[in-house]
Amino acid sequence: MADEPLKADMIRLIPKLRSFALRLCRNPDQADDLVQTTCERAIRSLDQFDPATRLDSWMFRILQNLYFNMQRDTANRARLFEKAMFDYDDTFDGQRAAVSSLELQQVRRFIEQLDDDNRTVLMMIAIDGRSYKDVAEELQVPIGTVTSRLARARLKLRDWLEARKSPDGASQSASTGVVS
Amino acid sequence: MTFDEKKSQVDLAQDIGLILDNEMPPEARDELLDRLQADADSAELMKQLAADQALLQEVLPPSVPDATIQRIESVIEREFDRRAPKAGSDRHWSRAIVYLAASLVLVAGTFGVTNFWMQSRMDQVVASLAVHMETERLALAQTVQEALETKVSGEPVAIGRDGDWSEILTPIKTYKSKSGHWCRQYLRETRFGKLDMTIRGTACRDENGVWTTVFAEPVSDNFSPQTNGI
Repeated sequence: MADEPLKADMIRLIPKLRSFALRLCRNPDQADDLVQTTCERAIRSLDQFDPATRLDSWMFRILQNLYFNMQRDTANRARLFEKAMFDYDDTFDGQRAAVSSLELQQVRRFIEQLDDDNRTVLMMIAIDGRSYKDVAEELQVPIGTVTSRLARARLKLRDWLEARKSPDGASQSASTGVVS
Repeated sequence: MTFDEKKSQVDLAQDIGLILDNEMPPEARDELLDRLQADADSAELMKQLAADQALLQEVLPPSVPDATIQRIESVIEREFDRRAPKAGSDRHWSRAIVYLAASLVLVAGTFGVTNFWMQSRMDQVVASLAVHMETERLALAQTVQEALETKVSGEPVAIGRDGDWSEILTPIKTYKSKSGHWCRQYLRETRFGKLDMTIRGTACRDENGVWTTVFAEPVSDNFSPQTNGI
């Protein structure tokens, strides 16, 4: 059936949608509801989806619009629409699409090499979409520690990716994940 | 990179993190966003970190509770099933069956209601007719009693009239029976429009003065199947 690949893609997207929803709502139950409504809405308006475009961008947009429309404060809602989140921005889609599975594997290996503290906050916040407060409570550290660990982890990843882009920096020590 | 440069880089990454991770109230977020976008280097780093975040999510899928995954998966399955075109011809058939069933229910319902209405209407009509006939019968009986009691023989008495219907009683002979009761022969002519029927009867009077018909036979009648109106 023609819908089967789309269905499989949508199921694969659940974690990313949930992460985005959690980042928007800051509440796991509300995030679950939002993802569920997003999927229902997307499937019911599947005829409007252009298969030439990215399913994740389309669904992220649906999710974000649903969330914005849930906001009672209309002024706030208008501002939210104007300055939307970055997660689904089409300008990043091109970059993401260009990433090969080999590169993905290398990034995964780099993350594994990060020290535990940095890797944990990076995964819990940047990937899972959890709040700083939530993570600070779970790790039993101050929020300031969480934010600085996260910033350092992001910069390490950035340096590593940057080094890989420049031919002369491809073999830099950043590939070990250790940044001073 | 000097220590200060490194520190300001970490501070900037923290600020960008507040935006990317939605860790600020909307107003404060807007202000910070404007400030970061006003500086070319900050704006560039923000764009890169946002792209890195998207890349991270490609590399490692976010961890989501199993219950959430199962719940959303079942919703996706359900919604796709709902829009599945398998209905094709089946759907037409099932729709036709539904329409047929609905029509039958409608017809049966209409018939039932009409039947019930007719039935109750008939009951009313029969009941009122019975009341009417009983009233008529009593009135007629009373008039017949008076006619037999008071009228001389050969004098026709109109004992009932209602529209096309009329009834005339004519005492024709008075005599005393062997048992000592007074008896009278009479003709009772009933007309209904163009139809008429004549009965010859004999009524006798008991001790209480009540006339009771003891014999009756039709003399002539125009009731026939060919008659209009029957």
